Amino acid sequence: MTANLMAILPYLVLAGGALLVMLVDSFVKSMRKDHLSNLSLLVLLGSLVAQQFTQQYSSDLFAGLLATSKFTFYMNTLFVAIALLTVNYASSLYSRSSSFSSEFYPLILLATLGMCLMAAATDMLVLFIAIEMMSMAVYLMVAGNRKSIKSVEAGFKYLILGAFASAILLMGMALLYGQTGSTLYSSFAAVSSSGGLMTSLAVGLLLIGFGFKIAMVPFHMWTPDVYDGAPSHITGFMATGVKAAAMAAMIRIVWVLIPQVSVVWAPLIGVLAVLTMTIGNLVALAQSNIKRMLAWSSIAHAGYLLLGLMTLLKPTSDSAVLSVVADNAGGALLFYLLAYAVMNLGAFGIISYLAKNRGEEADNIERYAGLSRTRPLVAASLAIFMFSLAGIPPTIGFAGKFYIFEGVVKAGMIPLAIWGVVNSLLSAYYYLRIIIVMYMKDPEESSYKGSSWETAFATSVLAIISVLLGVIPAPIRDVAVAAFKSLGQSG
Amino acid sequence: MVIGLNHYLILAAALFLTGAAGVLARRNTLIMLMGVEIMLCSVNIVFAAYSRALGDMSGHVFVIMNFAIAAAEAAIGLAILVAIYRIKRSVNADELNSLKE
Amino acid sequence: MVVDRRDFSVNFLIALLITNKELASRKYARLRVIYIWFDAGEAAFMAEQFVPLLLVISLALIFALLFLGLSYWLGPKKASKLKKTVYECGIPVRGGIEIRFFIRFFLVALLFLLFDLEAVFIYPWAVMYQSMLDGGRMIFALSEMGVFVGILVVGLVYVWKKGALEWQ
Repeated sequence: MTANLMAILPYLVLAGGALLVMLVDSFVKSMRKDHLSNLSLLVLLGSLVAQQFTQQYSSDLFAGLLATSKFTFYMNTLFVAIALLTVNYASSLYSRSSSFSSEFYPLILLATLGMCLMAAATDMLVLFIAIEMMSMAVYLMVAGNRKSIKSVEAGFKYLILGAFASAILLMGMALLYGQTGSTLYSSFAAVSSSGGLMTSLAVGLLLIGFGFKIAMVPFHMWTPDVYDGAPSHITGFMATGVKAAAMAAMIRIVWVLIPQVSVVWAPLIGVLAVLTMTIGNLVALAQSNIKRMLAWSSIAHAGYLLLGLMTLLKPTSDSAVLSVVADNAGGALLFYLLAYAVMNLGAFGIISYLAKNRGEEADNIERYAGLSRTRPLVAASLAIFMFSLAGIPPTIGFAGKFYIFEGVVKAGMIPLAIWGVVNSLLSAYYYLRIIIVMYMKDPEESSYKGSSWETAFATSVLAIISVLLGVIPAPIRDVAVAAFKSLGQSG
Repeated sequence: MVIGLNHYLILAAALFLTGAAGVLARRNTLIMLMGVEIMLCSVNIVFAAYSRALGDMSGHVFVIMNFAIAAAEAAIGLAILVAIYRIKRSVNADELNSLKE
Repeated sequence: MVVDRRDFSVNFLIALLITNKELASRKYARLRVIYIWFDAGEAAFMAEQFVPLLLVISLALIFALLFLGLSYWLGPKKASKLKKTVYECGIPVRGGIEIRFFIRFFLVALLFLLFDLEAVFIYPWAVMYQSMLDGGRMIFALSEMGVFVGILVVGLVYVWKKGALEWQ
């Protein structure tokens, strides 16, 4: 019992911290919002520290409901880091503007807890509760700017479609439960390896449910609206954290279910990956609103992630080759999640930095004109993020894409890899447009100007990380591969 | 006629599709929320039916958790609807168009 | 057919409404039907030992149907244009009937919904409590519920302090 509690200490810190922030917020009326943000930062740091004490990994906590491994360590660190940055962005915005309320702080802690549990869950019930814990907090955070109809409307839209996706996911879980007689992942192996009709249906419903969360075509239609309507720092959190969490849960499920899944669903995932990246990139070309553009780009990036997932499923007769390919592909996926988080959080951080005081968003690309003159450091950072998103070396985005496509080639699906590269080139057009506006145009009266040094500092650090990990990605990549290996053998 | 597992599954499937149709086809936001709740309830029927058929309790646990989660979701949905109503004086989905390009 | 002989509370209520003499008149022919029906019901009640649950259900049904039926049958219906309008303290109605609803009702209903549903988690715990005591795990059982209720209390304190429970 004590060992179990010790192992989930990082989660307990987050949960207790959320309650503490709620109580402090309600009792200390004089509490300024930046104190709450400092308290939240402290809780998140505490959770990071607690993780260091839980290196005693176990795959069998609470009778198999949760597992801790290098995988959860990697993902949890990523989630908590994303939350730290989001709180950092929020703090300057929230102390200035009255349209944001202090509920944000407990909510982001709970959302982070949900994401961590999603990566750690080895039981469908725990997974579902974790997904809902994350989703509900995010619905409210999206609707966080209560005076802006766009924000509230985005919140409602996300809630309806998110709940719809949850119901579909849940139906998949129910059918899977009917086939295995247990909600534990470990019981999935009991399903006959050919996979009956019900199992295929169940896994299909699960894929749809997760497809909504990671913005997979054809379940992507909510993404541009919600990303556009949500406050920018929340959009960054959603695009990176929610997507990474859904992907982590998906990797775990797919990896456990692999022989049953691969037969029916591998080709379909491949088709969906191609569709997702192509549609995402094509529509992004036409956007004049930077948040909508990044939303479509995030759909395209979901396509690259799905491509990575597909390499995991590639059926091969030679199991030794399969395991090496799979380890590399899985590592590449995890690395890509990190890379995407770094560059996208950076980009959304800058958008939130440029936002005006009253919750007005800096979303018009034309008004980025001359940013290189007025805010050279910020413009340089944003340029790095755009290069990175486009996958131009030497940035982390290039390294991430390189590993994914390398895995696809090694799995023997060269046409898919070529299509991925073509898509990357296509995407460069719209990413570079922002750089051109920032550097080639003169500043105008209406151009955005930011003011908070904390956000500028954080995004500069992220820019440095993007370049640094772009030059030497290997160490982190090795960590990612080790994290993936800790999931154990499939099936 | 003996009511067996399949009857429950068919009932659940019918409810699930009813709920889904409610979410996708109706233009009243409250009815859309209800549609989601119907979908969640239909899943509860599947869990309870399988739980009974398999003689396993974890399906029941799932159902209870589901109740709470569905209620929380409804509460959040209604809260956001109130926020929308305060700004727009309407909860009709067709009028929620400020996010169009 | 004597009314006060019966011990059914329903019949007692009917007896309050009308006298025997009135009952005999043609005007109340419909009510006579009800009385005959009650006689049959009483006989069945005497003859068989109904289970308490069935009694409760039938009483509830009788009450509901009876009063609905009574108001429908006995009430004079003279519809006029004025009667069909919305009643608003006797003054002429202005504007539509879809008026703003008072937001406080909504908030209280939401809070009730949430806290009420949490009770569902206490039932399994209560069912298991005795067996946990027998297994010598009282501390575990109590601390588990303590944590659960503690979290609920934090939520309650939060809504209280935020002023959501104040009826302004």
